[in-house]
This record gives sequence, C-alpha cells and structure tokens, in this order.
Amino acid sequence: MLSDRPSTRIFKPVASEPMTVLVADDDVLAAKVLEKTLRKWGFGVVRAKNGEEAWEQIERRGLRLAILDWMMPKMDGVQLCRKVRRKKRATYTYIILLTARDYFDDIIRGLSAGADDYMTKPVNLLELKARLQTGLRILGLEDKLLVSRQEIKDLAAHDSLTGLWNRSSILEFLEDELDKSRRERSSIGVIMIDVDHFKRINDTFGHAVGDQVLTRIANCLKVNIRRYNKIGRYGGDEMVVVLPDCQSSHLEKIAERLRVSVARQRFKTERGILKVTISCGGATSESFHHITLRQLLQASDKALYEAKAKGRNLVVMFKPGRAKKRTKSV
Amino acid sequence: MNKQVSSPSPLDKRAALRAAGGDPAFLDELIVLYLKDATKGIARAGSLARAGRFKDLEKEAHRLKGASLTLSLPILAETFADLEAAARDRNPQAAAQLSKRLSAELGALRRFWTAPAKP
Repeated sequence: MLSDRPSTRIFKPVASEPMTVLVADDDVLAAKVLEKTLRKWGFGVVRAKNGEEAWEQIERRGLRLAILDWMMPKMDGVQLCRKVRRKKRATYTYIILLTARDYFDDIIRGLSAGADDYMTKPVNLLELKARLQTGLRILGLEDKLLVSRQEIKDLAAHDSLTGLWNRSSILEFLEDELDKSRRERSSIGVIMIDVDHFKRINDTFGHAVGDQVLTRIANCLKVNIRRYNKIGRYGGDEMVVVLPDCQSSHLEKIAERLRVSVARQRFKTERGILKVTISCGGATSESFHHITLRQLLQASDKALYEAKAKGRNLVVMFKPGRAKKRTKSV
Repeated sequence: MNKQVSSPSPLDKRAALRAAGGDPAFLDELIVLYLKDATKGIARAGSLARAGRFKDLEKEAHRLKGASLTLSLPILAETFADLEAAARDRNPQAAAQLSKRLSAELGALRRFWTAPAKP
C-alpha cells in the first residue's frame, strides 16, 4: 500500500528523542545501578527481570538499544540475542551482552549469537558510556540508511515532472483498493482525466510549456481531491484519480469539481497565461459483479473517450451499455 | 573454603561509592537492597543445596556473585564464586559450609554498614 507519510515515521530516529535502553538483568542491584546511570546520561530506561520479559519489551516498544545479562531466568541473554536476530524487524536492535569475568568463552558464543558487543561484570561505567556511544553511532548510520532508502522508494514511486504517483504506483494502489473493496463489499471509483488539445499546446508553444501546463494542472487537481484519494500520471497527458469507498453519484460530483477547477484556472507559463480544460471519464466498481482492475480502467477510459468525442471539457460517467454524459460550461 | 570472616571493613567504600555514581544516598539504598536480597538468596541457596538442586544453586550463586561485584564486596563475591563452583561440582558439604560462611560475611557487612559513624 502506498503511503503519503514522510519516511521518518517508520522508525524513531536516534536523534529525535532520548533513546530508551532495555536493561535486562535478574540482578536487581546491577539493574538499578545501570538504570540510574543511564538516566543520568539522558537515556530512557526499561527494565526486565528475565529473558521473556525482555523479549516482550523489545517486541512491544521496538527498542533499539539493549543491555542483556547473560544469565537470566526463563531465557538467557544468548537465546534472546538469537531470537531478536531471527525476527525480521524494520529497525535494528543493538545488543550489549553482559558476562561474568570468568566466563570468557561465553563472549565468542554471545557474539556468534548476534550480540554486537559485550562487557564483563561488574560494569565499568565509563566503558559502558563509550560502548553505548558506539551503539548510537551504528544506529545513527542505520537511520540515515533507512531515510535514504525511503527517499529512493518515494522517488521511484512518483512522476518526476508532476510529482504525482507514477503509473505503476497508482495501479498498485488501485489494485490494493479493489481487493479491499471486494472484501468490504464497498465501491471504488476511478476518474480518467485527459488534457484537452494538449498536442496543440505542445505544437504551438513547445514542450517546455506543455510540461508547465501539465504540472500546473496536476497541482490544481491535487488540491481538489481529499487525502485518502490518490492521483497519478497514467501516461502522457492522461491522469487517473482513484477514490476508495466512492459511489457513482459522488464520483460524478468530484469529477465535475475537478473539471471546473481546471477550467476556472488561468495557467501561467513562460509563453503567457493559458486557459486549458480537461475531459473526465468516471467509472465505479458498483456497476459490475466482480470487476478487475483492467475492466475498471477500460470503463473509465471508455467514458473519457465519449467525453472527448462529445466536445471535450466534459464529465462522462460510464454506465454498462452506454456512457452517461454530464456537461457544464464555465 | 576455610577462610576467616572478613576484616572489620568488608566493603571497599570508595569503589562502592564510585559504583553508585558518587551518590552516598544511592549507595545506602543499594546496600540495604543488597543485604535484603543476599539474605534471602543465601537462605534459598541453603535449601537448594539440601534439595540437591545444584543447577539452580549455581545460578543463584552466580547472580549474587554479580551483585557483590557490583557493590565492590570482594570477599562476598569470592565466597559466592566458591559456592558457584561447589554447585558445579555437586558438592553439598562444601555448599553448606559456604552458605554458613556467607551468612557470617553478610552479618559483618550489616554491622559495618549500620554501625554509627565514628566521630
């Protein structure tokens, strides 16, 4: 499912708020010392008395920094490390394992199980601080990587000229919403939009002006649809609006609103102010028993074709058997 | 195994204070917590030894050894380490002896900590 949310919301970046550290130790005393020290250093702290509790905390809170004692009831630190690493998560949990000084062989086992670092008990607090800094540095790098990945994903999903969703993204959204509408027995609407005489604009004023017109129209349409509706560039000067949970009569009103909003605009371009109109073809899934994505697009395209054929600057709604025309002049 | 009960100063106060982040009130809180926890732990260790539950005894001794190290109580930490080893060796006699010794050590610590400061 596509999302308009900014990428940073998928995780809590290291720098955005005090990092919460999980301290998992059945030794209450050591846990208390760690908690007090960590709080003094500005961390938030969550404590767990055993491995299972620690796992629950990591799961529930999505904790990214954990100090785990090796020996704990119910699940030891190494088992917990393995469990954390096995689970595919959106973000990484940096784990420091605590072990007794005379259990040196454990270190190899601990690191092999997925711990990032280890410390021997009793914990030297200055050393802990330095090791936590290392952890934060690594988590900070992960944050940057996640942001970049999301930015790349966003770029790949949008049309570079208009900023609208690109063809594959809008079709993916439509497919998802169609599935949802089948499950929920609701109706989904599609408006196919075409810029009237766009070829003439390109031929008369050049492609740069054509691009400017397309961008201005895209912006005009974007502000005239609601957040839960989506608009994408279908190809050339064709755009498609997907409206989840939308009945035919409502779809027609929205299409009309879009048509009028464009017709009323005066588009400022490098070759002066232009007046441009659009034609709209609308279709909803309610007219069909079990409609496919292709059928819905074809239906709206057919209605659009009819709008074009009947003189442009029109909204035509698809009706099985015929297309219903609705004309308004501005 | 046959060590004497520690000297009148069973606690390295400077190291313990350092472990408590230099906060005497917090150190006091930690010592009180330790005394309570270790008293219960030693009693539990005795029962575990008598019941022959050496694996659980080893874990309990290990935990209390860690707590003792955290508070810079070297003799108690060492004695708990001995108890851990005795549990690993499945030696009930040694475990019983060490439990007694630990009770004495703990008593010494309690007296030391609760004694009024000398003028």
